[in-house]
Amino acid sequence: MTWKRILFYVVTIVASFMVQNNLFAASNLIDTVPNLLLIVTFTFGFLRGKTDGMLIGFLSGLLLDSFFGETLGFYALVYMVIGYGNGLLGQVFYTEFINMPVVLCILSDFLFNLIIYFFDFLMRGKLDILSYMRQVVLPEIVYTVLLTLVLYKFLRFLNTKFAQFEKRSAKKFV
Amino acid sequence: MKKKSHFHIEPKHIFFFLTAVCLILIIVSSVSNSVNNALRNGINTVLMPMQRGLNQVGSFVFGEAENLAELKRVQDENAQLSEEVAQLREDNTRYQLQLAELDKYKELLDMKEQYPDFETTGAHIISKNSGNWYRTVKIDKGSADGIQVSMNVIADGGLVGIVTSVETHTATISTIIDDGRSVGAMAQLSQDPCIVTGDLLLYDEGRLLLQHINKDDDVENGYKIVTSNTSSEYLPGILIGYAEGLEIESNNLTKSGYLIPVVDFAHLDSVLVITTLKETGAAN
Repeated sequence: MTWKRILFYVVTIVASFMVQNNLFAASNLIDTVPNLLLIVTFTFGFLRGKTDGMLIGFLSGLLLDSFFGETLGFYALVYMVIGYGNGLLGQVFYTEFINMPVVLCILSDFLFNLIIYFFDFLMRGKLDILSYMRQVVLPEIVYTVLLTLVLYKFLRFLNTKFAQFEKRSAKKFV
Repeated sequence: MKKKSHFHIEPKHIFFFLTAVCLILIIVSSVSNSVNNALRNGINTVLMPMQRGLNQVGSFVFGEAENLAELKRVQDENAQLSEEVAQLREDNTRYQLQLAELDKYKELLDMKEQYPDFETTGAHIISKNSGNWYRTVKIDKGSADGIQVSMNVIADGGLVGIVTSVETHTATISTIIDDGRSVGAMAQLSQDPCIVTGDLLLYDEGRLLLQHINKDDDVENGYKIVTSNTSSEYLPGILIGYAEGLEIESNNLTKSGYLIPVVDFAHLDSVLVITTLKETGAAN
C-alpha cells in the first residue's frame, strides 16, 4: 500500500464522515441516517481485500470514536472486523455478481447493529431485541441499502480510477 | 534506483495487531481520559471548521424544503399567536407586579434565591451522532469558550441535556432522550420527586419514561415536570416536559408513566449552555 492510497482513503473517509454526521443529520436528530462509513468500509473491503478493508474500517471507526464514543476503540474494532470480513468475502465471491453490494450491505449493517445492541443495550438489560430490530436496525438497513444502490457504482468507479492513476504514476517513477 | 518500499505483511497479522490496538485503546480510554482527550482535541480541531460549513449547507437544503411546507401553517399560527401575545403581555404585567411583591416578602423572610437567573451562552449544533442508537450532538463551543463537563444545556425553554465531554473548540452534549440517561426531576407545583429516563424505543412516540413517583404524591397527568433540587448534575427548576399516562404500578407503591418533552428534538439547531455549574458542596 502506498502513501498516496492511504491519503486517498483518509480523504474518502473524512468526506463520508462529514456527509453522514453533518449533512445527513443536519436538520434532524431523530430520523434514521444511513451508515455511509459502513458502505465505504465494506465496498473497499470487498473490492480491494482484507488489508484495505480493515484499514478503512479502523480509521472510520476511530474517527467516530473520537467524535462521539465514550470509549475510544470500540467502533474502530467493529468497523475493522467488518472491513476484514468483507475482504474475506471478496476472495470467495465474484465482484460482478449483480446483487452482491446489497447482500454485503445487509450482512454488514446487520452485524454492525447487532454488535452495538449486544455490547451496549443488552448489557444494560434491554432484552426486547425484536423491537430494537424493528424500530432501529431495520430502518437503518433499508436506508443504507438504498444509499448503497446509488453509491456502490460510484465508489467502484473511484477505485478503478485511482488504481489507474497509481499505475501511471508508478510507471513515471521507475 | 530507489529502494523498494513494498514489503509484505500477512493481513492476518495486521488484523491481530489492530485488534490489539483497539483493545488497548478501549481499556486505556475507560481507565483514564487523557489519551482520549488528546486524540479528540486533535481531530476535532482539524475538522471543526469544515463541519460547521457543511452543517450549514445541510441545514439550509433540508431547511428550505421544510420551510416551504411550513409557511402556510406558520402564517395561520402567527395570527393566532399575535392574539395570544397580547393576552400574555397583560398577564405578564400582572405577574411582574406579583413578583415584585414576592421579592419584598422574600427579603423580609431572608430567603435565598432558589431559582436564580442562569448565565447562558449560545452555541450551534455542528454535528449529530449518526449512529441510530445514540442521541448525542456536538456544539461549536468548547473549553476555550468556558464550556465545562456537566454544564446543563437548554433550548426552547426546556432541558436539552448535559455536556459530557469538552475539546478546545467543541463539546459533546448527551441529550435527555439518549437511551439510559436519567434526570432527577420533580413536579413543579408539589415538588414531589421523580426520575425522567430516556428510552430509544419510546422516543419514537416522542416520549420519555417518568418513574419512581410515590403512589400518593401529587403528580398528575399534564403536570409540569422540572429538574429537581436534589439532582447532583442538573440545576433546579429547569422545565423538562409534561407528565402523561401515569398509572399505579403493580407493586402498589409507586406510579410511573411518560413525559412529553418541551424541546423539539427533531428540529434542534442551536442551544443555550448554562455556564453556571450545579454546586454540589464538593470543591471542584
